[in-house]
Amino acid sequence: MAENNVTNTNTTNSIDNARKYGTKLWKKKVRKFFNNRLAVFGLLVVVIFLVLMIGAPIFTKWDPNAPNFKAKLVGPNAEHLLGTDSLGRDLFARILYGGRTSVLIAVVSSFIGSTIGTILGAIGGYFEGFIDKCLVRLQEIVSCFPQLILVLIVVAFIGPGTWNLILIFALTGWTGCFRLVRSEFIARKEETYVKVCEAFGMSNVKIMFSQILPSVLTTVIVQLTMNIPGYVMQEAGLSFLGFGVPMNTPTWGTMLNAAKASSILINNPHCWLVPGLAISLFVLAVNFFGDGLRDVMDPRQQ
Amino acid sequence: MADNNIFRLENVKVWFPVQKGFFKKTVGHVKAVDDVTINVKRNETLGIVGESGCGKTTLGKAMMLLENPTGGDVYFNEDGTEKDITKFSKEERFEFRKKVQMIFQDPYSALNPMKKIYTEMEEPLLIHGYKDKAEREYMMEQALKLVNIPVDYLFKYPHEFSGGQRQRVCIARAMEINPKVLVCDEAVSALDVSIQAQVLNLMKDIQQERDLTYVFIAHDLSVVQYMSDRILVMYLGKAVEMADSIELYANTKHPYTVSLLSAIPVPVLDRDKKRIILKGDVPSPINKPAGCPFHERCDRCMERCKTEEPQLKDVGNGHFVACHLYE
Ligand SMILES: Nc1ncnc2c1ncn2[C@@H]1O[C@H](COP(=O)(O)OP(=O)(O)OP(=O)(O)O)[C@@H](O)[C@H]1O
Ligand SMILES: [Mg+2]
Repeated sequence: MAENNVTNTNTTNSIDNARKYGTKLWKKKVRKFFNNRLAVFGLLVVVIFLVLMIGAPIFTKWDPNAPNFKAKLVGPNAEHLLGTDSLGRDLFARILYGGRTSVLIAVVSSFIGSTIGTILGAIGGYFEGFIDKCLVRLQEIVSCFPQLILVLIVVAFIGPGTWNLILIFALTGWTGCFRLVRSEFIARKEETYVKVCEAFGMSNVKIMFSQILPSVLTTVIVQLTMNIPGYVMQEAGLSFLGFGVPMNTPTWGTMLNAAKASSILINNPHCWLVPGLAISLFVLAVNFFGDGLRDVMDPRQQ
Repeated sequence: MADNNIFRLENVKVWFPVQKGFFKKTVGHVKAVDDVTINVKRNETLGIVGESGCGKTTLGKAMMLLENPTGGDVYFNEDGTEKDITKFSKEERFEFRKKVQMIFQDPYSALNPMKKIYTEMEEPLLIHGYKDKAEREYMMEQALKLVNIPVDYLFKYPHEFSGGQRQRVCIARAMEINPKVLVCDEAVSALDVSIQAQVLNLMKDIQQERDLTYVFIAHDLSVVQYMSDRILVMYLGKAVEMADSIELYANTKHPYTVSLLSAIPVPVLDRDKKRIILKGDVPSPINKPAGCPFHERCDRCMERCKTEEPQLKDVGNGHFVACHLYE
């Protein structure tokens, strides 16, 4: 008995030792990511945007919604860094506060959509059969249904709003992720390591979520970041048309909308140039970041 | 006699549907395993040989409950009572999993590329209720010692291993929970010859030590001869011959086995030895010829073989053969 104990502790010691020198895969990945200049640029821009938005009250003294009729449509100057709009509201403040809503909509919709898509895709792909057929049909219906009509319906019945927009984006946006995850599951459940787990008596749920999902998740995360720019653009588009967020809530889209009078378009280009550039820069940065992420995350590239 | 069998397969069929067209109509079946009746004795090594695609892996999977037989029964008898594993409840299945393990053919996909070996090896122990971490680690280390893999490797990823090392990790993982039966599907085919010998000897030692039963699938006949007490020869999903390994080599009966054995390269160049080279290809398992599955390629084919399918029959001395020549 005593001897047995000794061997036991010895074992744990040598295993603990080995643990210290084991391969740290994520360290390699981080290094690889930081070797990609565009990806680092993307990450940097996104972080700067986030810091500015979250700490908006620190970076600007203006209220994004307070009109100032004495300073309408002034160009960029020391007082108003990026100028003011037709109601005299500070554009820099509106970019920061508005960005909060725009980015919130994009990130949350993308996140919820990907989650729905991943869960349904995992179920469909792993079990196949009848459930899968139903899910695929549902996916086809949703992705064929014109989003704009759905938006019009919701706006007509509940009115425009941030969360309504998120709801619509999430409910229509899961299909891409569903297809991706489903096909990955179909391919991976035939892998021998899944059979091995089955042979050890692992439950289906555990095989799905602890064996197959981790390798699929990397693609999902990449897909998720790649979806964000799309939602920023869509929000801008819908708000520009007046179907998105109410006009009195600042977002990058409503800012563009506010600048659509032809006199402003011609005489005060900063009014549309500023939100336009903000959208472009953010979208570009997220895309670069997502690309870099894909390069390191793809398990096939090891 | 029946008590001596740990596995008994009766008319086991595993058919895969072949689907065609838009509506996925089933147009036929791949008869991967077709009407196989065999037994596996306690503590023996049963070798299974046959050409690629003849259903060896599928038969092994059917014994593991990884493939549901289309027909027939698989009886498992570990504790004195014979039970049909195809009718197992969920709990019985789980218990069964502890006792029968498999080493899979392809060591490259048998380990999850996203997981460290430590996690891979810990999972079976966690599933089967080893709650104490120190105990688990002790068992893992013992299992790794068995296959000569240092513990440092526990914290590496599969892509850092060679094929042979992976295969040894797989062996260790299967041994870890002390199974009674181990189905080894081409367990050494991926290894080079020197390591092959090492692993084979190791497996023999483990068998002695732990009273294991092996089902040893391979297409390398010399390996099978070295390992097995009895050998089953399969052709196109059928069991065509089964006998003690010495008996099979000394007293080969089925024409297919004869040609198979004649293909073993021998170190001494024996000019008189006739090598039988089979004509044609293995027929597709979807449209099997009528009669004996081997008749199209058999050099001793009779009229009867083209219409009537021979059954596996005892020709004495524990030697079973499915051929009209020996009736
Ligand atoms: N899941 C499956 N679906 C359809 N057909 C299958 C499936 N698995 C195996 N088969 C078919 O069953 C037949 C037997 O396959 P099996 O893998 O058992 O052969 P094998 O004897 O192990 O061959 P090898 O020596 O190449 O490993 C083959 O014709 C194969 O195409
Ligand atoms: Mg095989």
